[in-house]
Amino acid sequence: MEIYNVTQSGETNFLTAPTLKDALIGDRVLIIVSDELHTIYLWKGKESSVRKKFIGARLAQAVRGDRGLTYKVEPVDQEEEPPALLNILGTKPAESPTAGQSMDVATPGKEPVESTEAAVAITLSADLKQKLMGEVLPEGFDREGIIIGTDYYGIIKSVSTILGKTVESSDIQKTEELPDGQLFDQSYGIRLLVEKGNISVVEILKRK
Amino acid sequence: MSLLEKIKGQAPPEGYEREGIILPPMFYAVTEKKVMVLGKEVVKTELEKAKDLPEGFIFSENYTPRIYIEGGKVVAIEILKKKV
Repeated sequence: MEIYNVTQSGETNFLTAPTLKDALIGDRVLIIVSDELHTIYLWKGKESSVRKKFIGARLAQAVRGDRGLTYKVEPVDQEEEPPALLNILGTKPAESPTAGQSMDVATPGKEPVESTEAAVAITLSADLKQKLMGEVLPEGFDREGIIIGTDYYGIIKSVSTILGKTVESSDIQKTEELPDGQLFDQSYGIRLLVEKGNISVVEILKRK
Repeated sequence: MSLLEKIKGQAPPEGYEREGIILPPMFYAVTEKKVMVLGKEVVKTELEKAKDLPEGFIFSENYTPRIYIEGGKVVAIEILKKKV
């Protein structure tokens, strides 16, 4: 089991603790990866900020992208932990990100094949992706998310190392673990795509 | 109370004013209606579904969104303009 602490700046720090229970502190949002349960818990402390919860939701999906589709993301609020998580509270977490089982769960030939329907549901169509990515971003802004209808799609950035060379890639995936309530931060901008008189896409842009 | 009315009842963040609300995929613009009553101007603010939106991408760096989420879905996006 590995624990990652979500920071306010949008990063994760690998966390060590004597037991999982010791890591569960009220102002934290944690991503707890259990290889045994094939579950990525997004644990949200009672006093954690909306921003951390929001970032955690996106990062948990990114972790799932790394681990493979056999993993599920399960959001958990403090003091509402499900029995499966309560059962492992006394477990000692891994001491480094590479400890425990392999980071690469997607063993060739064993990864389940996702249906076309499911693939469309979690990402954007190739046409729409091309339209959005083909439009130059306003100067001084980065794209952080896309809203289509009532669905939020986050930009998932992956960094991997191949023979010592760092390779970065990004993809757009639907994020379902959004925190209820209002989200406002003045460092964000917005770009709209209007088609046939309706707002078809809302891009959430972050000021650099 | 409709979602639109609920949002209308929320004060904008300090230093910002509301310019519109998106209830996907529709855009509701804040419109001011001025009426003269016995020589006195009365201004009423209403949210009206915007017609004739220009096609394509629209961007201005003076705007910031406030996002409303319910049940993991984005139910509304408020378009806020920074006061000068």
